[in-house]
Amino acid sequence: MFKQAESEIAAINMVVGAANSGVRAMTATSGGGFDLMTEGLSLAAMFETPLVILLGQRPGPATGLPTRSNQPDLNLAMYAGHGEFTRVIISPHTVQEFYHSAIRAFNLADILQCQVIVMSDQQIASSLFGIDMDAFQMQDTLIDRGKLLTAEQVDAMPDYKRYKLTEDGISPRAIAGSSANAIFLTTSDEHDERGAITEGAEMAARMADKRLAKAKVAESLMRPPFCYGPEEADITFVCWGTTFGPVVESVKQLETQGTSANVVCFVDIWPFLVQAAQHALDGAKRLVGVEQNKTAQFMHLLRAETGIEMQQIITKYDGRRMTPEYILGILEVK
Amino acid sequence: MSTVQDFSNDIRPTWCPGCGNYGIWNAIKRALVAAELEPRDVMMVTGIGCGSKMPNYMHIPGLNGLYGRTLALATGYKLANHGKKVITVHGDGDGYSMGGNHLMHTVRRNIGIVDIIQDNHVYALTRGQYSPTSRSGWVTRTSPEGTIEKPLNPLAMALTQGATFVARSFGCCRIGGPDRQGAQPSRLCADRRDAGVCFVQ
Amino acid sequence: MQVCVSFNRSMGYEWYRDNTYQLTDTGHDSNDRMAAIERALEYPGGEGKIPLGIFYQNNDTPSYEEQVPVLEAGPLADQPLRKYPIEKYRELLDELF
Repeated sequence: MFKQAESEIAAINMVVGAANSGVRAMTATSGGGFDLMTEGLSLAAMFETPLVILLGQRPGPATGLPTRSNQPDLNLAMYAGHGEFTRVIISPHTVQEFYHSAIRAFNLADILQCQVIVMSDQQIASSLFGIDMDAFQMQDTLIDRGKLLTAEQVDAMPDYKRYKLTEDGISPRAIAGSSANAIFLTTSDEHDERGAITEGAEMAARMADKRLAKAKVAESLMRPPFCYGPEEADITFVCWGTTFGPVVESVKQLETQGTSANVVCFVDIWPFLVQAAQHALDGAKRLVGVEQNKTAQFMHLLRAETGIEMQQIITKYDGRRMTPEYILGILEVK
Repeated sequence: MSTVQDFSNDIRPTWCPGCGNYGIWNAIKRALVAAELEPRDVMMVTGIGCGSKMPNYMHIPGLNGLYGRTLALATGYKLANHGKKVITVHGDGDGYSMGGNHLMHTVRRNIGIVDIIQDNHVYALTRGQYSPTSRSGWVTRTSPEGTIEKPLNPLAMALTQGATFVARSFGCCRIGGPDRQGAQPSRLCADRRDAGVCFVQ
Repeated sequence: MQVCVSFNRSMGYEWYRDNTYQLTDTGHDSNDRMAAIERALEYPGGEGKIPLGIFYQNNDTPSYEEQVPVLEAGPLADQPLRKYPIEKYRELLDELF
C-alpha cells in the first residue's frame, strides 16, 4: 500500500504507526524532508519500531539546488534525532545494489528493531541504466523478521514483556493486540519492560543501555568495504555510495595512462567497521578520498574511527555530477 | 462480553483530583464495553498532554507518540490494520496547535478514527498557557495583558472540511445526569457503522 | 470539552453547567450539514450558550480505507508478505519489459 501524506512529519509518523501493526513500512524523502522526519526517527527509536527511510541527497542548505545532486547529508543521517540510539546507514553504489539493499534494509530493521537509513542521491534516483534482469532473482529474496512473534507464540507467553531486557538489547517482538497476552503500551516516554511509563533512574539507564546494545549486533551484520581493481596500486581511491561510478571510470582511464589505481568503496556506513576499514586500507601507497560535498564528511568519519588520513581529498559540491575528467584533472599523482 | 474491569489496570493516574480526564476515561471504558469490544480489538493512540497518558492507565493496546502527531500515527496504524477500532485521545494543544494540520487532513480523508479532543482551553501539562481555543483576553503566564488571539472553531473547521461525524461532549458526570454522559461515546463506538472519522470535542 | 481544575479555574463545572445546552433539546437535525455549521458557529463566536451533542452525522460517505483496493482482501497486517507465488511477480516484470 502507498500513501501520499500531507507532510514529511505526517509521513514518518504514519509509517511508525503502520509498522506497529506488524507490517513492513518505509518512507522516502530528501534533505529538508528528512529534517522534518528527525523527530519521528527519534520516536521510532524509543518505540523500537523497525523502519526504513530512503534519503535522496541533493545540495542544501534549505531548498538549495533542488533538482541536482550531491552527498551533503551523511552527517545529517548520522546524527539526526534527539537522544542516543542505534541506527543503521547504508549507501548503495549501483542500481543493482539499491535493489538488494532494499531487501536487506528491511531485514536489518526487523532483526535489530531499529531504523535503517538508505542513502541515495538525486543523480542515481533520476538516471536510467540498462541492467540484466538476472540481477534481480526474486525467488532468492530472503525475508528475515528477526524476533517477531506470531500470535500463537504470544498466546503461550502469559508474562510477555515487549521491552524485556536481553543481552543483545533486542526483545522478542509481539504486535500489540495480536494476542490477549499482548495488550501493552508503546510510548515515547521512557518505559519499563512492560512498556509502562517510568521515571525510574535505574530503569532509564538500563533502557538506554538496551537501545545502544543493539549496535553490537548491527556491527556483526555490517559488511566490510569492497575493493575494485588490482590488489597493489600506486593510488587507492576511497569513496562511498554512488561516487563509485566516476571513480571506477577514473581507475580505468589511469590504467590506460600507465598508472595503477584501485578503489575502496564503503556501502555500509554505520555502525562503522573499524577493523574492516583498517584492513582494507592497510598498505595503500597513496590514499585519495573522493566525495560529493564540501567538507569531506565521510573522510572525517573515517579518520575519527580509524585515524587514517587521506593524502588528497577531491570534493565536488556544485550540484553537478562527479566525473572522471574532474577527478583526473585535479588528481595529484606522485 | 468484556467489562470495564477488562480495560482497567492497576496504575494510578497522575491527574489532579477533580480533573475532567477522569470522566472521559470512564466514558471511553464504558463505551468500549457497550460496543462489545475486547482490549485486543482496539488501538488507542495518544499524543502529549495530561490526558494523553490515558492508555498508560488502561489495559489496552496503545501508541503514545509525539506532541501533535497523534492523528498521523493513528492514520498509519489504521491503514495497516483497519480491522481494529482506532481511538485517538489528545488535548487542544496536541490536536489544534501542533496537530492542526493533521486534524484537517484526517477529517477530509474520512479515515476510520474516533478522534476525541480533550479540550480544556488551556495548556495544562505545561502549567497554564493559553491554547488555540482559549477565549480572547484571557490572562495567562504567556499572555499577562490578556491574549489578543481569537479562538479556533474546531467544529466549524471539521464540518467545512467534510467530517462525517461531529459532536461536542462534556467529559464530566455532573452535567446531564448519568445517561447523558456516557451516551455519546457509546453511540460513537456501537451504533455507528464503523466507517469514517468521528470528531468529538 | 472538559475542565482543568488547576489551570483554568474560570471555566469550572458550574461554568459549564450554566453555559451549555443539549442539541437534543432543540430539535436539531443532525443530518443537516448547514444547520450543523450554524450551530457550530454559536461557540466560539456567538453570544449564547455552548451547544453539546451530535452536530452532524452522515453514514453514507465511504471511508478512506473502504476505497483502497489492496485492503479489500482484509487488513494489511493480516496479509502475508509474499502474497503471490514468485512466478506471478515474474509475469508482471515480463509485462513491463
